[in-house]
Amino acid sequence: MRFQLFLAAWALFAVLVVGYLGYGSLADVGRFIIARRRRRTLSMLSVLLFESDREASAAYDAAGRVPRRVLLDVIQTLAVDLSGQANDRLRELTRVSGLQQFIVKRSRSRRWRMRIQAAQLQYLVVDPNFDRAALLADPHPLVRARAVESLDDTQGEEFLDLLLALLADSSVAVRLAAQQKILDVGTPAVPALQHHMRHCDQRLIEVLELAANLADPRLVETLDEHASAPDASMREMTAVALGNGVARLVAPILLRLMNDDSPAVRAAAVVSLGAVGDLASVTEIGRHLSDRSWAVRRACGVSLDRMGSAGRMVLRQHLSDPDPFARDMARQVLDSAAQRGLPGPSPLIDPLHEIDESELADSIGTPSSFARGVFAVADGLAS
Amino acid sequence: MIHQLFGSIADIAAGWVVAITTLQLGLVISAMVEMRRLRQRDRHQVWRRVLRSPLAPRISILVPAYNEEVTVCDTVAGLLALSYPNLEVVVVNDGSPDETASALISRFDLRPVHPVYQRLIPTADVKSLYRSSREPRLVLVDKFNGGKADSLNAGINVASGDMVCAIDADTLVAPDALQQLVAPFLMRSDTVAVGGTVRLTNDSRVRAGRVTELVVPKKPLVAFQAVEYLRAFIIGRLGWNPLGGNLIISGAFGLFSRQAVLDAGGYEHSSIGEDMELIVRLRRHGHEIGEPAWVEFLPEPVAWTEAPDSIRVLARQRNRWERGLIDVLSRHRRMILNPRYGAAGMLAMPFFFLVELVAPVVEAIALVLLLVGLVTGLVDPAALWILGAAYGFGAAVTVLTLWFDDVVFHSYARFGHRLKLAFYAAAEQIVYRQLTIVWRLWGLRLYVQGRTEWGQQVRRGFTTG
Repeated sequence: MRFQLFLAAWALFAVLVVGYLGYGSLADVGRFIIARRRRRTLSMLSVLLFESDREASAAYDAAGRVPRRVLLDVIQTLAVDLSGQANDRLRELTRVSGLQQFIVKRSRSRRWRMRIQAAQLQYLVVDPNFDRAALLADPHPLVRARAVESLDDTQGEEFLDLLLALLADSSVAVRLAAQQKILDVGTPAVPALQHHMRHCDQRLIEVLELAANLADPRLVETLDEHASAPDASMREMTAVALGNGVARLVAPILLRLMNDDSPAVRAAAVVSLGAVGDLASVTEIGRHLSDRSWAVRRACGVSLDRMGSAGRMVLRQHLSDPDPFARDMARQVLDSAAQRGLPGPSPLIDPLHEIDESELADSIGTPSSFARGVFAVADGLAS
Repeated sequence: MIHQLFGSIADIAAGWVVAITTLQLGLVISAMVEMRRLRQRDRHQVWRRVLRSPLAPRISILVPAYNEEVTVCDTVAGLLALSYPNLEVVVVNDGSPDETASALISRFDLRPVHPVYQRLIPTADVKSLYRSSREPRLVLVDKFNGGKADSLNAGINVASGDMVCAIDADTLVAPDALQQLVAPFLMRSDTVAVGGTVRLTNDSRVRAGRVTELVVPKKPLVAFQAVEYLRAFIIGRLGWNPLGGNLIISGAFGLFSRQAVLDAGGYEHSSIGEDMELIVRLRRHGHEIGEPAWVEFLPEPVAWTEAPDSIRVLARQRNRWERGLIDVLSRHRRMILNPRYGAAGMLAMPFFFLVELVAPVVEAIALVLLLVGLVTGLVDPAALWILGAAYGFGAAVTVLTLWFDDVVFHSYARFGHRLKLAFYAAAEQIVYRQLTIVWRLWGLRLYVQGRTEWGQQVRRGFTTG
């Protein structure tokens, strides 16, 4: 009995090994065939999409004979980065091959996995009655995110209001996709964004983040209204966004934000003043080298360095500041500048200055990751 | 009486092995179900474009390095080439006596920057911070020695990302791995940690920080580990996902919410198994504040690491893992079979206690008694068949995981590789399994003695070509 058990266990092992090896070999052959078929379809589609009209028209017939599953698979892979004539031809191909009806049908499916496929390819559908808004308002967040993501820029412009509304979506993925799509739309989105910033109070942080990334000076006047928002993170993002403006217009707002209660807001305001290069503010920035928060002091040092010789002159003045923290930061920045061949105080680098925990008590509101990213880049530029 | 006891030793040992293997088989089935769910969810690559956006959540990759001069530059070059738009790489040189820091400084043209940072978690003193003049995303933290947990904490302090990705200095990360790892954070707001698969690079071809050809390691000792890693990540991680009891995110490759880690107080300095300890603490903390934390393992994002290729180093590594496990189970013993902690307390912790801690001890005792019985004639040699049957069952479950891996990942693309792996799955039961038991018992002994040192691993560097 024991021996039979032994045999049975190892026989099971042997069967599984045979299955594993056999399956692996068959799967290799299958993968080879699929890859070859895919390659052929891809090369045929590349003729169809990128060659002259005459060659392309011949390829339509051949593409129509490719099994729908393979064609769909290849189009899904290709579809991400196409534009212009290639996109128009792809639309034509989906029309003649009947894929458009297929996409429309899938968009009405009760299963989200079907709808997500339709969401991915919806930009290919030219039927004016096709309900894109339904996909953008789909109950499943992944379908909504996918639908937003696959809108082309023209469609993005058409659905701007809906995209702005999606910035308040409960799903992070949808919010992120909507933000990116508005960013893709670019300048044409600015008026709608301005309007939204004035009249909507839901999840404005995403809108302000967009404003910071769109870097359009027209947004500055609207941003002024948010500089006194009750939420510190909104004031901080406003300060970051103001960094894209014209010094003359934004400096007064940023100087006001430099006296904010939140260290994160103060730090972001200082970084933005450095970015717009408002030379009239150098003295005020220098004054903040003695700020309670290290983040603000660091931002002041980096900003003054960025502002060139005027900023570095202020830093040199602070080498004799009675406040040891201001003195220390000024020395560190100037030492760093000296390493880049710019005039510095001395070749000596001070020993590392450790910040006392109690001293940090005032800087509980650390800068947001966005502002921290700005600091990181600023540091990189400085070095 | 003694005769009877010895007579049934083989049956008891075999029964024990079969019971443990059956539990593992259950987890393989659970892993299959989970894999199907993940495939359906991620099939349409929803994140491919979104996560190319500059608005994507910022990730700081933490690379603690101690005596890693051979591999650290390749690792960092690979990380900087990752296709993630909002990335920062923080290398923490943990007081290495070798040339780790200077290798990085010369390769990436690093310069000292304002050495001020916020010590949100206490760590050993930092000597200086460096940034690269060519690559603004790279930061080097040069600090006094304090151990791996301390280095990770220093990295978390300096990091500017919303998420931190902890990897080892000898780890290579697949190009799109971060885009995949971040996805659960976008889908579930209660996600605190996500882990990916770790595979072995030994003897595989590496070019520009990328694994270009994966082969079965030539040395049997490393090949055993390759099989073991495949099984461990499918059974020990993926299988636990649907049960909600994932307790380990590998220290070599895991993504964490920085805020959640800060709230939990960072990595525990005094723990040897700091990666598992952090996950257990995050889960425990979540349950205690009434906001259970979600920890997910994703099989598709892959990182590559070098396995020890000498028995001495491997033995040290395994006894350290064992001490880490005991340490975590002992620190969080209140969670075991405590319904307050959900699946982690009711399923995962008892499983780890039984399968990872008690099982080797029981198996070792049974094997010793069996040997004594055979020598003294108290045990019938035919009893060995039953033990052989149990090991056969264990090997069969391992082949099942290899098959599963082949279906899903197609990691080893050649017939010869699969054949070798199948051979090692069988041989593992006869040689390697017993060795791991010895190392585990050694770890148990050292833990009882209160020894907490890490031991050293000699790096050979990646095979380039």
